[in-house]
Amino acid sequence: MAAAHHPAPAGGFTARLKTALVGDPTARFVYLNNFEVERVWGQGEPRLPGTGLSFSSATVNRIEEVGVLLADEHDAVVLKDAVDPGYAAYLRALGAAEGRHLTVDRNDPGRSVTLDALDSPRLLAALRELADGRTHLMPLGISADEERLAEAAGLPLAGPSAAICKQVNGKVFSRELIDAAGLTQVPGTVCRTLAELRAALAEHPPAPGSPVVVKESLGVSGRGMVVLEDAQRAERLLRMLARRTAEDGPVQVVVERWIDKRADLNYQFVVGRDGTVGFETVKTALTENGVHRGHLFPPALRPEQVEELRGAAEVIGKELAAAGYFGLVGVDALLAADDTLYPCLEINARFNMATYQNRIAERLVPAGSCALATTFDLKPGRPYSFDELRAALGGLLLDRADGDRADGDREPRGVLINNFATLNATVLADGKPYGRLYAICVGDDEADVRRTRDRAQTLLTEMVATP
Amino acid sequence: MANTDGTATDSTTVAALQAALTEVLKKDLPELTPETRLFGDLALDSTSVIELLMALEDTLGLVVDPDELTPDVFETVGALTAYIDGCLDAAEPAH
Repeated sequence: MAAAHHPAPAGGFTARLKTALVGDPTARFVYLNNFEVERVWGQGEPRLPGTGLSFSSATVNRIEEVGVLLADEHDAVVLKDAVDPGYAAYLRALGAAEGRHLTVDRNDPGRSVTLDALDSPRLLAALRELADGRTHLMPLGISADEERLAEAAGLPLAGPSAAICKQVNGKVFSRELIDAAGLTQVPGTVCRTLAELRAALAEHPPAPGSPVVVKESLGVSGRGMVVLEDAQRAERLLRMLARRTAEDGPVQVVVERWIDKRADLNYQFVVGRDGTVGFETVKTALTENGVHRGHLFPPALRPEQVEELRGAAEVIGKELAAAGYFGLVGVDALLAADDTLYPCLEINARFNMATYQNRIAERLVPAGSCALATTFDLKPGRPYSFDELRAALGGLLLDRADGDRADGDREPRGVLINNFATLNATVLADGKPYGRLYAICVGDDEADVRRTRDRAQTLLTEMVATP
Repeated sequence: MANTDGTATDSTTVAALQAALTEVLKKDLPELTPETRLFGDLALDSTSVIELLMALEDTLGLVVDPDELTPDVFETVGALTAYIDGCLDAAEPAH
């Protein structure tokens, strides 16, 4: 990765993405980072009770700021609010965020960036002015809302229809795809009625030490699911659903054995408009109880395991292309404790957090170093500026692309903040002290980046303790 | 668990909630007060909500309408017990 300290070469991630999706590596993309698009895909679908609640929507809706890290100089990013001036200067100095920022007319903290944009006459006028035949709207994922926005903005989408995206993002779809392709599959089954779920839980009964997970087909990642640890809980779930629907009533879930893992993995590839598949990255995914907590890369995998995932990407990519999909794909995979590689637990035919690391990693995570993409959950009693954060982290902040270590090593090291808006989003929205920072800790190896993370957590916790 | 007159008392609901939370969170809990925050103080997370509802529906015999649920219901013990009592009252036939 010799390009670490230089602007991305023409062959960088964003150029590859543009070539694959619109046939022009210099096309202008308007990035729209509509996190939790699954909520829109899942509307009107049968749900597990209580999984549709969003407890931190103000924070989740501001994760979209991370999209500034994908923009090349001629690109644009739609944002819910202006980037903190200190943070914008920080990213600019790193060459990490170069595009134009277009903010919505009014940031409603409870709304997605897409819904805010649709309600923004001034922004829509600015977007219409960008239409020049080579400017495309590039959402995280495409639902009916993004189709409406593309139409209102007069910009073509750099992806297929919302109907295709919704179809291929279902966990029922991906399980059936993996079965048909003959890839190693986690034991389980798909269920479309309550009776099928009852039969599936009889076939795969949970028992202490051998849980079963029930996942909504179109649930929000890590949330639309329940882990059943014993037969009593399985019965409870069936009773809960039976109170609401008949035996032949609709249910859209997959039932899977919980596999003891050595590591969760996430790999990304791009399916081109012509059906070609370009592999991008594989990372260790850090999860707790199925909830995403970050990434570690490079992953501790043997070369043949990486090859197996590349092979799976080809197979899955071809099937997605046959279904009419083109665009970025992230797949969750699992390396089991017994060394079995399960190459597909879930297909996300959309951007994911790893995608937003691609362009910056080409610049700031050189070969031979290790990166931990992580979050810091903090309790800020008031909004904090990026300059306060910079002062709190001091020398731990990764703020120079060429590093500054006295030992002559010129590699970048430290904590790179890759989303700042989420620190203040909830405090600003309703005064509640819940904030989150997204960061990438860059260092020599896993122990080094974990030490860096721990030090940063301490310093940031002290920062938000200051009134 | 409803009383003989068909209405659940606060203490019954709180006891059921305490048992359900202990089961879902797999840990002993401090004494709950109406002000106890489920997420902030007890570290309930959004993935546990369905389990909590499963346990409450079974022990209290109520059926929660997911379309009526809002995040505010899970803000504090007081908010959740008030919501549960409302569900139980609504389920009682009129006299």
